[in-house]
Amino acid sequence: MNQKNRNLVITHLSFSFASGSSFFADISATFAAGKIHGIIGKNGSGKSTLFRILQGNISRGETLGGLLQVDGISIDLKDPTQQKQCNRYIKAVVQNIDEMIVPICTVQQNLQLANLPLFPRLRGLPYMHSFEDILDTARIDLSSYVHQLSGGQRQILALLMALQQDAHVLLLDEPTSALDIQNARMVMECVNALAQAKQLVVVIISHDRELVKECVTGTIFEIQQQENGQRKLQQTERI
Amino acid sequence: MLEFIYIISEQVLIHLPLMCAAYISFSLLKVPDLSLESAYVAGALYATVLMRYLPLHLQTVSLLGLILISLMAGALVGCMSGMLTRFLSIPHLLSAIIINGMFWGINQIVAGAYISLSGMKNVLIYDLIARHPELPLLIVIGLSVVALLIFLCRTQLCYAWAVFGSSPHFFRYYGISTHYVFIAGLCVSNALAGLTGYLFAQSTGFADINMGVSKTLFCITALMLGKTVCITKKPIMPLIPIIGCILYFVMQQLLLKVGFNLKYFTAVQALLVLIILIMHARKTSNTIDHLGV
Repeated sequence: MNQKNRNLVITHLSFSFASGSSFFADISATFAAGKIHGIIGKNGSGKSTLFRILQGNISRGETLGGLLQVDGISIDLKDPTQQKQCNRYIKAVVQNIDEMIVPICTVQQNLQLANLPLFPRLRGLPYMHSFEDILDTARIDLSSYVHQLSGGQRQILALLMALQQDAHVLLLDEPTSALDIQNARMVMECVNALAQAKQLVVVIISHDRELVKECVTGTIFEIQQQENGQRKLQQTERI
Repeated sequence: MLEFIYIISEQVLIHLPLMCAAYISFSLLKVPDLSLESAYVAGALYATVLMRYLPLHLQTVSLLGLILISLMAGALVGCMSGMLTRFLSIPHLLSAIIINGMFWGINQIVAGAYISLSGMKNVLIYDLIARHPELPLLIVIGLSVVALLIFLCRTQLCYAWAVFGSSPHFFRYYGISTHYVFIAGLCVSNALAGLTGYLFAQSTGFADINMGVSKTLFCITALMLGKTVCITKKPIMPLIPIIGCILYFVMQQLLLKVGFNLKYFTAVQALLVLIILIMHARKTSNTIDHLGV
């Protein structure tokens, strides 16, 4: 698989809510693999909605269109059965990471739990990718309980859990909003290392333009609201 | 002293499946599973109805058949209350109340309000201990239940139950079926409650529509006792229901020994639960974890 094929390419993406109002219209963008990209925008601009539809989470009545290319595979977003495939390749770490981790379990158990099948079976916990380098960098011990970890370490654990099922694209929603500067740097260093090592496409959304400028190694996009209420994705600067 | 141990052993072995059921529902899934009471009654009533049609002289076959039917009756109750909760988005306490009401009627239509087992062969009897002929087979059943619990506690499914109780939104991020985890948990748990219902009916010689009343309080009390003794960081600890069950019946028998009237025992249980909850709330100065178990 060559480098180009691992890129995330969005072509003519459009999205309307169940009410019929058009939210995104004709959005096209390319996110290169191995880099961290940023999406900025004001509150309510639609950053989280974009993340949601990129994962194929569409509610009843909503309409989605366009083409998504990930890992060399084309997904027709108009087709509801193909929409569900997005979730296979694109994983997100939400802002409220406590919903994604199990505080009563150890780090190792959490990594294994992230690998559970659709219907958990009557056999032992599944194998896991341990990402030893990242765990060492973040000083996370596999036998530690989650409630013993710092905020930054929990964020990294959530990242590693999201990557358990061989995702190619990682979407991070405000990954450092609840962290101090030191923890925020540690998290972003780990994200960068992961992006390069696994040739992942990493996209972060944040209010914090400074953080985005500091961490992004790829492209920065801004979601802008048009007069007719539609949102456009504009490339703002290249670092 | 030996008689005291025999009596406690019998009681513990009869109620062990129910304790395992309560551990799955209350401690792992953390749901207020009142339907355990209906499952307990259904297990007792349907198994005793079936006894009329089984070749009771073939003891092993009949016993296995009765165990199976009581497990299935309990699982049916759990499956229905679980489906109401998940597919109709009804809070589980309400689903359980609805199911209890529904099965109150169904049980009376199918089995009647009271079934006496007098004159029917007791398939639990295996003459090894003269004054406690049911004990040998109860030990076999109890050990099987413990083995099943230990096996279950190491599986993906059991971890999923514990995860549901701790982080109910976890599954949607990892493509795991929350419906399946929840309904499977209630099926297993209620099936075990049904088994205790049958064992209790068989050992007392009757099954009654009201026999499930206050069983939930018994389960919560015993689990609290178990949790007080087995302090652990582990998310799953199969010893809790076992130790809790033993402590409960030791306490009950000791109270009987000192002349306490057992008709007031439910009130004592309620008081004990209240004291433990108040102590817990003072210690942590926090709101009480769901059901405290």
